[in-house]
Amino acid sequence: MPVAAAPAIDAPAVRTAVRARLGPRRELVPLFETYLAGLDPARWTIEWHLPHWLATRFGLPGEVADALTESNVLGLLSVRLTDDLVDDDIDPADAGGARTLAAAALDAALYPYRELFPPDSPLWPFLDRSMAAWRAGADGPEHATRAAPIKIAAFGCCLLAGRSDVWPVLDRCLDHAMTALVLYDQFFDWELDVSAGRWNAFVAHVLGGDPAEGRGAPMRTRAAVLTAMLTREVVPEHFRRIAAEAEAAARLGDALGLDELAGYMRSWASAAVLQGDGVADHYGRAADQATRLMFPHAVAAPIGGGGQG
Amino acid sequence: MNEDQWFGKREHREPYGFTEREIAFKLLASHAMVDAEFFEKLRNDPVGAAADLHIALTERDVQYLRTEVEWDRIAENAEPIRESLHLEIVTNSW
Repeated sequence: MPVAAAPAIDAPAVRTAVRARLGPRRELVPLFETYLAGLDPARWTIEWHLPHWLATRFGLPGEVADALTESNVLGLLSVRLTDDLVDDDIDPADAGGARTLAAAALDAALYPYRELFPPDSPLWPFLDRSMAAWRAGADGPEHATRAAPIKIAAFGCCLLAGRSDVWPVLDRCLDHAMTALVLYDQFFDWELDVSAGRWNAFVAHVLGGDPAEGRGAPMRTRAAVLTAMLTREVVPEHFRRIAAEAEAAARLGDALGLDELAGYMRSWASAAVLQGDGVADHYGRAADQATRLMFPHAVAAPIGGGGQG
Repeated sequence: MNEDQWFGKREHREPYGFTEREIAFKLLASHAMVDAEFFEKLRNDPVGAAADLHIALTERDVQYLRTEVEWDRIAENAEPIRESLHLEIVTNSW
């Protein structure tokens, strides 16, 4: 669910190159195509665009940016498959094929890295640490670990450009950006996550200190979260936190001269705040409606003359 | 003026929410709207249900909940509001 227009990219050309590089076995083609089609550049903007943004800033060849973009798409496909396997969102009959495809996509993602970086390059231990961080934190409160795979291309671009000096700032920039994106996704996934018993950042924020906390069963947790959405400022608070992370990423992007990344994150932050306000308004009006329906006389008379439904 | 399915004119927001009492009733109504068990408890044991949310009802409130609230009618009319709370309903026009 994108909240800002993505910059133009020749997505069909990238997908064609990804197909050619991976060359999935015939029986895996339907699953591969399903997942590839789901990797919309408008939703996964940073994954699709970051290599080109960095190449533009650091003067790297366009071919390198193309290859790393294709690697990002393959890596994202592998990550999505693995996430869905962990969450039991893949039909058990397809699970074996999904594991094979995830491994093959990750391997194919590494092809250009093997050509660009010697075996003793710092890229390789960085890659190992990044994937380990992602595996360890993919379903928990360490939001930035979701960014770990995307940092591989970014770190690689810094090495290729001889600009390792900017890595600490770029690292923090991507942490803030990916934290914003994860918090945003978690808001829209909260009901599914509660049903599946998964940790969710929005739910964790809402239930902190709530009297309904700890009731345990998904239906009660759902009720507690919905009640908070109806009666407290939890939605705007969550979206303000999202926007703050995006703005922090934009400021660091400014500092690095990454104008496209900074502009995208600012536009995304503004759109996210508007969405949050729209959602909060909906639930606020629902609470008014519920109160008018249930207690028209109890709450109506003396205050402001309103209240009758 | 904008209209939507359940809330009528958008400008017609009720002015309550500014007193402790009104906030308490909004909390009770909202919780009852999203939690069927709480709805039944509020109907059958209003004092206990309110205490679950750290709300102390007056005797007049209890009498109101026991004798004046039309629970069957509310249960019937609450369903559209409950449906409107699903996030995909909120976002499907985006």
